[in-house]
Amino acid sequence: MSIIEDRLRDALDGVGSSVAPLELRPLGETRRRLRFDVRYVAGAAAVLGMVVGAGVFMVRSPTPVEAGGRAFGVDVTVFLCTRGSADHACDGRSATPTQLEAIQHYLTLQPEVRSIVFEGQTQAFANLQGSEEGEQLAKVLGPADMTESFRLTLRAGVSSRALRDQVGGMPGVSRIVDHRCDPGAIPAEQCG
Amino acid sequence: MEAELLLSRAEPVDVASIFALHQLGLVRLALMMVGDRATAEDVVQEAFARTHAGRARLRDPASALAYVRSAVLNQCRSVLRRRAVAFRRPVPHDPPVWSAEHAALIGEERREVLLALRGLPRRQREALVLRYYFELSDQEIAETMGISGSTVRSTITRGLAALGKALGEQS
Repeated sequence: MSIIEDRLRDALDGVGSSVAPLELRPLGETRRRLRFDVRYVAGAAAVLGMVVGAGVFMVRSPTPVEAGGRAFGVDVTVFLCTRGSADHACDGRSATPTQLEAIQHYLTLQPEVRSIVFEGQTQAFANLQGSEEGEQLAKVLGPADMTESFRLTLRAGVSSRALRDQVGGMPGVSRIVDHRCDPGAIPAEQCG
Repeated sequence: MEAELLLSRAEPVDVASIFALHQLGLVRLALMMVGDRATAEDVVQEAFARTHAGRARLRDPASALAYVRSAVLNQCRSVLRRRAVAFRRPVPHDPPVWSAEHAALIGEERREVLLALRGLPRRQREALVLRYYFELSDQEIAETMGISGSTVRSTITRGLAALGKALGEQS
């Protein structure tokens, strides 16, 4: 592969990962136009306050570059293939949009999964910059070094074994980590 | 004749399911062409509405995805044409991903490549995106763009060479 091909793939990956699944407007829904009305402005201000509050909270939660720390409320993280990954399953390539959609589709059908949040490279880098442990790391890394992931919360008391077996083998998945299995995590018995 | 009759009786392709299943990829494709997320989503919505309205003409499930991608690319071309005459009738849109506003998010090196890509002729740009992001084969790109397989190969070769030149590197 030539340098140009490699750079092109990397740049297009960067653009692609800026659009996360699960955030797209449902098909058939038109874009809403803003209307400046005092009632709307007051309502928007209240919502904005809550969103900013939640955003600050999320940014402060520790996020791994590839694997590791447990973000608040996240039980399982499905790390996706990133270009240059040493993982054999990835073959050095990023997860394609089709693979990503298949993984997302599978996850949404699993009864043990309570919520799914997609974290793109840009968001992952922003989280790294905002965390105490990642602050120094963020000075030598860029968004391109980050790994995309699906962050899952599971229903209380369920094991992730079946999920890890199934999703771990899907094309485009680099690895799947149950943070409840981290050393010292409670309850650890559900990770078996 | 019998084959024609069978074909004419075939069920229409489920356009809504194809769009729903591939919406992410289609929005990303549109984003790489038009540059901003909101317009990219609008492009896919519009392509969906148009394809859905004409779904009776779409009877081959094997080529449905290529048809849908093609519809999205057509819609992107319309958007870019409208922007090209913006001095007459302004079409407001967010700063594109290759603009300076996105430098911190996307990275300067990537932005440099995207700017060079944007400078290529439309056909080369589309072929390169379909090959190097969507990893499509020559045949799939040919079906999506409505050109021959050999034209796809030569377009990609010329596109890479032009990109290398623009970036001052050997391809």
